[in-house]
Amino acid sequence: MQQIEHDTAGRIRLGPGALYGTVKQLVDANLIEEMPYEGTERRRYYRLTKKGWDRLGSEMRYYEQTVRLARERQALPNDTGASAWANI
Amino acid sequence: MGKHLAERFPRYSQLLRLYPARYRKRYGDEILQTLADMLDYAASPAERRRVWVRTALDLPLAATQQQLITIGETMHESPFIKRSSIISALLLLPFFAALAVNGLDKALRNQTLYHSGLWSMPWLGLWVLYLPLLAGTIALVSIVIIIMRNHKISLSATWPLVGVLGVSLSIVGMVLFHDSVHCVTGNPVRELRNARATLSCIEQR
Repeated sequence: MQQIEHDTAGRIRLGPGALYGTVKQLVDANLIEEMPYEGTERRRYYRLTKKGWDRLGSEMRYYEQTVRLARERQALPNDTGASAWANI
Repeated sequence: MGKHLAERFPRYSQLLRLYPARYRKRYGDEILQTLADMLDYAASPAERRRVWVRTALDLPLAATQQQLITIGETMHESPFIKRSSIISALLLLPFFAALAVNGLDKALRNQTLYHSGLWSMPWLGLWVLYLPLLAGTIALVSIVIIIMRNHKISLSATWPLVGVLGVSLSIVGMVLFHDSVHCVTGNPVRELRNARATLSCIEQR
């Protein structure tokens, strides 16, 4: 969860309940599955299913396309952080 | 639930009962383990406090969300309960609609619908007595069928029907006894002691 907070620059802060609500949703949608684990540790580990990888791929392509379009139309903020639209 | 972690967080593990039983059994241990990890990785007492604050805010929201999801799943898993609940609830709709319209009329125009057709027989009898009675009967019969099928009743699965039954009985009770309600609510102790007088009062109404 610290990782999520770090990766999103503090925009997403999950508590344990919200985290497992999301895990349950992903398991129910067959996007992730619990990994077989025979150790004595209490923790459970999850991995993406085939469907999960497919969905991740299509989401990545969608975001890549969005960023590419924004670049082409010069809609991304420039190095100073100001939007290109501000100059129009 | 992990005994070691339940001992480490006795209050929080008790509060996990706010989650639906099925969800708690599946994810309860992991939630406790995650909380333990968050606290163990916290670098300072201030960060540990932040973890507890976040967990305290997260619990009611996540528990409510899971309860609502479970209700939805139950309704989805049991079309019989869903169908019976919707039909019986729809039969109660005219009662609440009539009261709402009357209330609006009073609020906006300072009038009531008491002299309209809605408040005269046979329409009055329909929305005020027969439809709620039918709704209650459908709910009751459905509950009996569920008990006969499963040999038990789960309130978490049948609460919509139990709710409709309760509302229907309340409406019918109000309609049948609203004239005599003062016979039992004026001084309940005295009225219980003088049961004969109380019954006679009810009969006269």
